Amino acid sequence: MSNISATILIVDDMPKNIQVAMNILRDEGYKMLFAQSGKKAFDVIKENNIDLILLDVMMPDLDGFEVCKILKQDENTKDIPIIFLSGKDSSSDIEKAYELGGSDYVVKPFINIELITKVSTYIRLKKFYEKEKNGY
Amino acid sequence: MDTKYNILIVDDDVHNIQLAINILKEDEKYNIIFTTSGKEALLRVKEYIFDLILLDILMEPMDGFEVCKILKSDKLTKDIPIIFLSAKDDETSISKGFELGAVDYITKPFFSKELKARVKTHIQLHRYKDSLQQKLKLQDKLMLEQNKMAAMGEMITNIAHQWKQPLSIITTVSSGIKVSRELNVNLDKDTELASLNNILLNANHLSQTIDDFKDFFEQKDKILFHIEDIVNKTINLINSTLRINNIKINKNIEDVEFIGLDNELIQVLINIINNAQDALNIAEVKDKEININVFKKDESVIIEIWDNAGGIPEDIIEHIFEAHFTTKRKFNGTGIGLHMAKKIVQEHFHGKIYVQNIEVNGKRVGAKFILNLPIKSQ
Repeated sequence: MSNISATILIVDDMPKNIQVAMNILRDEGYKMLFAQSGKKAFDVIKENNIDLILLDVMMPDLDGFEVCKILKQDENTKDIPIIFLSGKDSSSDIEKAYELGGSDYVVKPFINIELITKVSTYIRLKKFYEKEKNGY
Repeated sequence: MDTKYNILIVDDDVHNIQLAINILKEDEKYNIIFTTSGKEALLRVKEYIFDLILLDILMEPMDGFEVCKILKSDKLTKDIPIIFLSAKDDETSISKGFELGAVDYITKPFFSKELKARVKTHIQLHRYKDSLQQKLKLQDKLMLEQNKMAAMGEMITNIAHQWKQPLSIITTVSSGIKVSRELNVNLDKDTELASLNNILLNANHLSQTIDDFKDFFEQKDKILFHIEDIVNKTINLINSTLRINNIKINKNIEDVEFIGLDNELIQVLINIINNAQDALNIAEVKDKEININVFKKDESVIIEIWDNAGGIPEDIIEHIFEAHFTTKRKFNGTGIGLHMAKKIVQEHFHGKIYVQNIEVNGKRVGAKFILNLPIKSQ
């Protein structure tokens, strides 16, 4: 257990991929939501207080990069850390991910402890940042 | 604020070091130090305080995993975030890196944006954690002072009570002498001497009280003492409130010698007894009792203190040692008495403190606090 209560949004067009990520993070005690398209992701984000987004890059219609771009331009969502999940480890994709303000880029298939550690890193960072912003 | 962050880069290939430095030096906040071996890295961490270590894995003779293991097992270095930077990109290596306590693992070749982002993330997180720790330390200090002040307040009440009787004797006896002089009644010499002795005795008692209280507030070194003396001193200090509240103290004390901070132990006992006292007053039982048992078990002194105030509700019992937890707001409870008791027991005596309810025929009758203080290792 991570002992931090946080809400994670997993965005992937493949239900199987969502399941894999959920299984890895299941024991950490986070609340997990999912969306199967970029469009649906925006709805979920609007209605929930999301602490971290795991965002698939390759999706039909709106891909992960576009979703990220939109979120980072919106004052309400720009501070939500985004970890890109991708089957590709091409250099242009990785560079683009960071350029767009993504926090990290994880290549599938996941290594469990790597994903767990990274998720906890960005969630803790966000919580600290919020505390600092709102004054302790 | 113009804080600089120290980053240590450990890599046996100077080209790799140069590459990382070129990327990171763009940020003026970073102060970069490098070494080309694990052994040297272990020396550097003793000389500087690092905010982050970038650690290569494939190095001879000591590899990065080994360095990480050593750093994580040392209290002074275990909190420095470590990012592995390695050409090894197999699952086993990456898993091992995280399992050893690294915060991140970057495979070579890496992108400059990637390295910058990760370094920034972990330095920030480390900075936040650090400032949180500082804050907690400060809170601890404030709490300690608050507890001392609260204790002082109680002491003053106690002094006031303890002084009442001797002062009234002194007043009565001296006015007696004065009146007889004014009325020219001749007191015989023995009566007069007895009266003066009485005054002297009581004045000494007053002064003794002051010494006892003053003694308690002085910071001293560890000394050898008998637990029984400490228990008696404690009871003496708060005796007047115990008497006013009609609380009977039962003692069953084995003679145990102990080396430690006597005043700290008195503080712990006062906090527990005062808590029992408050509970007894709220519970309104008729034969109020506080029992104190002291005995030696294995290599520890066990001090048991229990009351007959009805015990502690189950939903509360696990919280009573938490700071600022109090059920007696109305009675000026600060909620730090038991918390401080626990802190002192753990930090100054390396001991344990726990609480349980005493049940008789399935009914809760009182709360029992148990101190376990190791006699050695002081």
